[in-house]
Amino acid sequence: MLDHIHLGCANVYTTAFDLMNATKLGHYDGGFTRDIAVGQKTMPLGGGVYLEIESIVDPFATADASRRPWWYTRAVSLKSAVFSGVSLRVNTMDELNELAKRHGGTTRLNVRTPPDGAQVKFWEAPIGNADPWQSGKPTWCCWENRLYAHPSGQPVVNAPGLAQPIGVVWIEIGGTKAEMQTWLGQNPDDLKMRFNGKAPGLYAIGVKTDGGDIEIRRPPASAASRS
Amino acid sequence: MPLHIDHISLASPHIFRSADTLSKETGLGYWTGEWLRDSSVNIVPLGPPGNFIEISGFIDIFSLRHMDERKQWILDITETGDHFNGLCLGVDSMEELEAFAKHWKSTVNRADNPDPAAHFQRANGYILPMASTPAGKRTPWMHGLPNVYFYPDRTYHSSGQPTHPIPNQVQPTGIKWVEVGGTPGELAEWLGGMRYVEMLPLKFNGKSLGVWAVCVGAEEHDDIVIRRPAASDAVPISKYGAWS
Repeated sequence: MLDHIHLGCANVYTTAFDLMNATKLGHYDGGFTRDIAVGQKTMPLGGGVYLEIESIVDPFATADASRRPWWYTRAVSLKSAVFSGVSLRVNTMDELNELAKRHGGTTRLNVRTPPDGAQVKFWEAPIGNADPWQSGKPTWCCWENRLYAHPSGQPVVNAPGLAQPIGVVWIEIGGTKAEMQTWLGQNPDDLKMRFNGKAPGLYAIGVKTDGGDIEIRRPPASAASRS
Repeated sequence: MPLHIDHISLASPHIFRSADTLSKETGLGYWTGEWLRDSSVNIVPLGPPGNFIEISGFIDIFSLRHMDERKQWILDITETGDHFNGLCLGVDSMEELEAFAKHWKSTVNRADNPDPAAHFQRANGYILPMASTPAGKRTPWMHGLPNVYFYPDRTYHSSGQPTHPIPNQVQPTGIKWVEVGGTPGELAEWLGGMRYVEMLPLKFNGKSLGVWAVCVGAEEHDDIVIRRPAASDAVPISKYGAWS
């Protein structure tokens, strides 16, 4: 099932605020990641799914441009927030290990420190030489026994006129259904994927809210979409 | 209140890491989400009568492609870690604020500036009305000197907003003292009289100008001393000449 969607940008504050105003979906401060100097705003989408909006927040750790995340470079060049990737959720580490093995990779612990200090951790796969997101392919994650504190279920900053998200009802993907089915090992219809035949990557998501359906459309960050 | 301390600015290379470190070091909570263009602040409330530390830093490194003197100063003072970079005083009326503006031969940054990009904005869109002086291209902070603020409405003051809960959180009871560089005479010259210096709970250490430490009282807890170097320790104030 869908777990989270990544939106990379140059300024996480303005991006999250503008998106909140446009969609009436609330967000909260997700804190910072450990390995790369990135800050996060988290936007719950309902149904156990969330949008992680991220940008670089440490000018020194990333003074060397090669240390900047690939999606950051893409967002800056497009002068737009970009959809960087899709993460699907499995329930057990056995499933995650199997997926990692099938794609010739390993698993890795993803750690984020939110403002209350209690680290948010999930395992992700496949980890290998290439990041599947860069070629528009989804990855997988597992929260083990920490799903009770899942980012999709945390309170948002109270702002006037917010809508209640009910869930992601579709996601628009490049490439073909057959290619995606080969990568996933399951029918993409189960994940509400729609295919537009363009270069691989995530192009848009549809979210059901108590105020009606909304569409969030941004350019895909995936490298294959550059041409 | 007469002239008082409103808040203290702590410049940081990474505001999330600095806030996390400070909260673990002191037990003080903080709240997040306020930003102005390329910078953001994480706020550490210090208790009554309404004080706070703002941990400030860049959150948009793309904006650093176009440098100016202020941005370069922030980068220079944070390259080696957190530095206290501003002492921010408060008054209770526009008349008092205008008197300081007149003393500095300056003007007031008005609270009712209609440009939202001129104000700090919170995550829910709220803008705290806030006026300050002196106005100008260069902040007196770069000279290790304080500026002065007036809030037409203090009911949403930054010191009174809820913090993210942390384990064993300490309840602050207000600033007990602030250690600053220089001498009382130097500050009196800047503020326009020793009577103003005497209104403030300051300790002078004779080092370069600026804030060097903040002592905060706390419920059922020893006083908390937060010590960081002043910005003038990283970039000498002589670099900027006389304030103008």
